[in-house]
Amino acid sequence: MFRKKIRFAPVFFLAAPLFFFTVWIIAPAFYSIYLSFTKVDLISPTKFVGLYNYKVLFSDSIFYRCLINNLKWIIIYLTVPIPIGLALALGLNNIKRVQVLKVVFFLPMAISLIAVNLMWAWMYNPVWGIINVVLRRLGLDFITRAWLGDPSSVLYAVVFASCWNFIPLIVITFSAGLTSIPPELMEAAKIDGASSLQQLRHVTIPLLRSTFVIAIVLTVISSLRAFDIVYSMTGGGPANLSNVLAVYMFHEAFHDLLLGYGSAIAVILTIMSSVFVVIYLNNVLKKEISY
Amino acid sequence: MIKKQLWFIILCLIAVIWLVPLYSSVTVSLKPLAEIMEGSVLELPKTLFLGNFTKAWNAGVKRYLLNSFIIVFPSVIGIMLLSSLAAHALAQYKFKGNELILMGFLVFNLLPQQILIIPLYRLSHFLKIYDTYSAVILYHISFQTGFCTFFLRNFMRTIPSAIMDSARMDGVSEFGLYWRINLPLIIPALAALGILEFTWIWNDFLWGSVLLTSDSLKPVTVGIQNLQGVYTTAWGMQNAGALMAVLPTVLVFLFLQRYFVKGLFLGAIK
Repeated sequence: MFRKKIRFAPVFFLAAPLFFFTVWIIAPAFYSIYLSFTKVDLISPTKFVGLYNYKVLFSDSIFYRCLINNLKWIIIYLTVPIPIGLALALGLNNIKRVQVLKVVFFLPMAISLIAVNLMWAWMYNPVWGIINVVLRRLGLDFITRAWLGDPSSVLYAVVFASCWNFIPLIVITFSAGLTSIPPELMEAAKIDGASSLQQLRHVTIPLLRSTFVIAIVLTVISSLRAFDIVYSMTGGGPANLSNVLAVYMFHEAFHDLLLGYGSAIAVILTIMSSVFVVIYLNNVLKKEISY
Repeated sequence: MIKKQLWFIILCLIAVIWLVPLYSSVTVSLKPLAEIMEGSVLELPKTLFLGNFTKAWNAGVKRYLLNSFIIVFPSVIGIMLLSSLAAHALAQYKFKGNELILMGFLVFNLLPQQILIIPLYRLSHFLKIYDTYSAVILYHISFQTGFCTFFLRNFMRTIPSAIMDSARMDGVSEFGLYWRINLPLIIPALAALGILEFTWIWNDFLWGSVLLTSDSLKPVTVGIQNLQGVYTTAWGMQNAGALMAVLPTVLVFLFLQRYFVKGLFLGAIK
């Protein structure tokens, strides 16, 4: 009787959460895969078209534009937030009285990307934006430009605004990694006469290996997810120069009403992310799941 | 010692640059348009002009803020309830499929949300809840339950199983174990999670756009984006709207920063 009760218990506790998660998340994800093999519009009934959407997709120049932009986004995210995040984490780890500084550095994380967009779009304003005004006052007029209108700068302008919101997460990731390094190791290195740079190179960074993996995977997954700020800041324009897959997918589905085609883009995006999700799980879950 | 001071000075300088976007936003929101046109951009406002804030407030921000609260609170409560139930099951009982379910919760949380947009748009129509608060709330509850279950399950694993065993000996029912023993023990984790979820759901833009269409139901993220489209050159008003929109999460963050960061430390990263 007692045993039976315990065996029934997990079913009881899991019923509601699993129901909601299945209906709203798991089943819809699979439904998207199905939709990507169909032609759907609001007028005619859904028609199965096999790989047709994917064939069109792979000859769609906008798709490649977005794909390249997503890759650029990944590269910028790996080369800007990761070093800055690591440097800030090391800095904050090195000094006392950091509470106020931490609040300052982490604050943008609490600000929605739509608000970030509004704040930065104003800074990027060609005439009165703070960036061009400062550049002009410094006599650097030749650098000034319409940051969001100029093809050479628009993607970078959007990504940098996004970095402001993203870097705090990386700082926290590295801070968590740093606190797990036993201070005795640092002391030992110091006693052995290692300089700060040597300590960093030979003690800190090797010990942060798994933290690096997590930070890099978070960075890549976030780059592929980029949506809010692109959609609100430029809508992907001008001429798709700042467009990314997530925004293109949204546009195809809700503007052009090509639900099958939009689903195919979503599936490609998901496959790209999955690779990194697997790496993440391999690193994080090995320790977590063990009993 | 000198090195530490150097670090401190460098970090302070970076912090100043770090706050430029906020400075630029706050100053423009407090200036009338004419003052900007005169070329006063870097300077502090001459007078405390609140016209932009009242204009944004009356242009819909009041309604949008209310909508955000209406969406966020039930969502967070629902998430806490569902994820603590699931986490209890996964942390306290050994059964076939336990790890698979845990993995499932996490994996589907890490995938791009684009994969869900079209199906959920249709599902909400099918359930006749499209363009209602319920659609957005149900989505948030379902999606975030994945991450929170993982988070809480890991936290519960740190509670010694002897506590549960002895309670069971004392004749506490299985539901009592969850409600009277486990739940009170995970309050710190629930607090950290609640703050994280409040921020994340408040800042959601995608689902407020996908599942809602009536202006009167829109959360503040979607609302201020509309302002940007309608009042294209009213930069002061746009920024005033943005600042009002972020005030709740920023306040929560400023006062409860420790829990917020602890939540990320424990759950998302480690």
